Amino acid sequence: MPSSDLPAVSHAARGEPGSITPLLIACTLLLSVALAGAAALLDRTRRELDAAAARAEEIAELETVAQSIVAALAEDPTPDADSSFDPVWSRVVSNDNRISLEEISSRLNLNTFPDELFSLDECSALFSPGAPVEEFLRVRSTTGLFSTTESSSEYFAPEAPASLFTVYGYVNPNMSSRAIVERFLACRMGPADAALLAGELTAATGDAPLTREELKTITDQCEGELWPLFCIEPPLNVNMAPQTVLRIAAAYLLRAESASRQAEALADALIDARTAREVDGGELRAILTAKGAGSAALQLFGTRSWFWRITVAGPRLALTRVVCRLPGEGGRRFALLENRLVHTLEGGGRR
Amino acid sequence: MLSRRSGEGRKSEGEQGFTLAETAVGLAAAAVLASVVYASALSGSSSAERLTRSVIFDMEVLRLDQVLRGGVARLATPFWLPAVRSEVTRDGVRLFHLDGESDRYLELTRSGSRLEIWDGRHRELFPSVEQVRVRSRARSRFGVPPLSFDVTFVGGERISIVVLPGAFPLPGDEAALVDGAADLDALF
Repeated sequence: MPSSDLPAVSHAARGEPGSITPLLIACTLLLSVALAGAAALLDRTRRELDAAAARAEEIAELETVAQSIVAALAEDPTPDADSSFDPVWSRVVSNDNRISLEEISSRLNLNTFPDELFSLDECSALFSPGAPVEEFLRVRSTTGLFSTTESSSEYFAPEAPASLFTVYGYVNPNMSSRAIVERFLACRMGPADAALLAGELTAATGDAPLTREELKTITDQCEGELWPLFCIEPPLNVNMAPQTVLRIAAAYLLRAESASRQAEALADALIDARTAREVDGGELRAILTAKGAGSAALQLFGTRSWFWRITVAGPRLALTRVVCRLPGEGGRRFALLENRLVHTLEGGGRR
Repeated sequence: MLSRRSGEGRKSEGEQGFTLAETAVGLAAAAVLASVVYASALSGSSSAERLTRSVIFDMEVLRLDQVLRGGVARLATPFWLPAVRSEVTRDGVRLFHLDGESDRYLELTRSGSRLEIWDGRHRELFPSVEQVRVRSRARSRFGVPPLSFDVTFVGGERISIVVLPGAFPLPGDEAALVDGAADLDALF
């Protein structure tokens, strides 16, 4: 058999010219593409991890700042009165609008304030012409409590500032009507028990305002469930309430006197006093007595603030917290009620 | 046909080639190598399949975690209520006060092995969920009552996601609180 007819095993075996260069180039290219893809993936993962770490760091910083504001509120050197003279405000102002602090309970409470207050002439300008106060009161009595001020905005005039209204506040049986007290009680117990207890509480406030001890005696078994939602604390801090709110509240207190000038004088006296200094309990009592408001006014007017909203803005996120001061124990205990983190950059969303 | 003789003949003539024995040894070595490669490839394929399944499962868990945290953070229970308002349905649960509105809710329903989370606008589906348990305490001794989601997947894997709502009830008198008392316990 001639050697040329032998089966070929390989080019090299036959001594023919051949090259593996194209194969090597192909392999190198393939390897390069694979490595480039892996590098891109690693880089993206690293950037995502960096972003997550930066976000966690920013959240921790926002929480620390918010906590420091609560600590400053708790460390108020005059815990019996809160006002714009308190040291916490200098801390807020010195932070270039990064921190916002709002007192959100010394306003017209849509759930706890009596019908008579909203029916005053002084309040009529706040209501939308298309939705009179009667409609607001009817909805309030039939559908229950408003969860947010936004949920009742249709009843109020567009020009009425949202800062006049609130849903944050404790229920003071000395100030709220039986229907309102029953509405809140029904959130914590059965309707029959709520009706019975609301009746007892209202009857007890007939002659004189309830004291803390009397409230404790009447609520007895369920006190643990009702405290601190039900307490004998005045909702409006005269140091912090908007002027419009003070004037409406003064008009409500002195409505029986049929003397609007007397109500105006009371509101003016409170505004003048708080402009100059922090009004404490003793001065408040003196002003109320001097202006003929009587001790009943102390169920509505006080010198302490109960609910606060703190907003801390960072480069990418903003943290909003609502905290409340718990009654008793010197007013130095606060509870967290809301905690919201919002992306401030475009395209972000809530956590 | 090659033979030792002919091979020797070619070699003696200065030609190159393989004898039958050399070819047989080569083929045997190739067969052994191929069997090793095949076994490795088979094992690699099985590992890749397990890895793929694991990655898909992890991604579903991460998505579920993200959707639940996002949804529950939007729940704003008014502070005067003792707990997150909820309603247990035939095949799920509704959590009310979404975005602070009393009539809006976050709904979790399970049918077959599919969990659906619906916020009234967007629907998220999770295809391999076997069971969900949602629990919450009325009020916590520590102030803030979280919602707990225990999810069992089709393969038997179980995860627990504990989430804080955006707003929660007013903490009460600590003496009146009972640890472990559940306000909501829905299994579906």
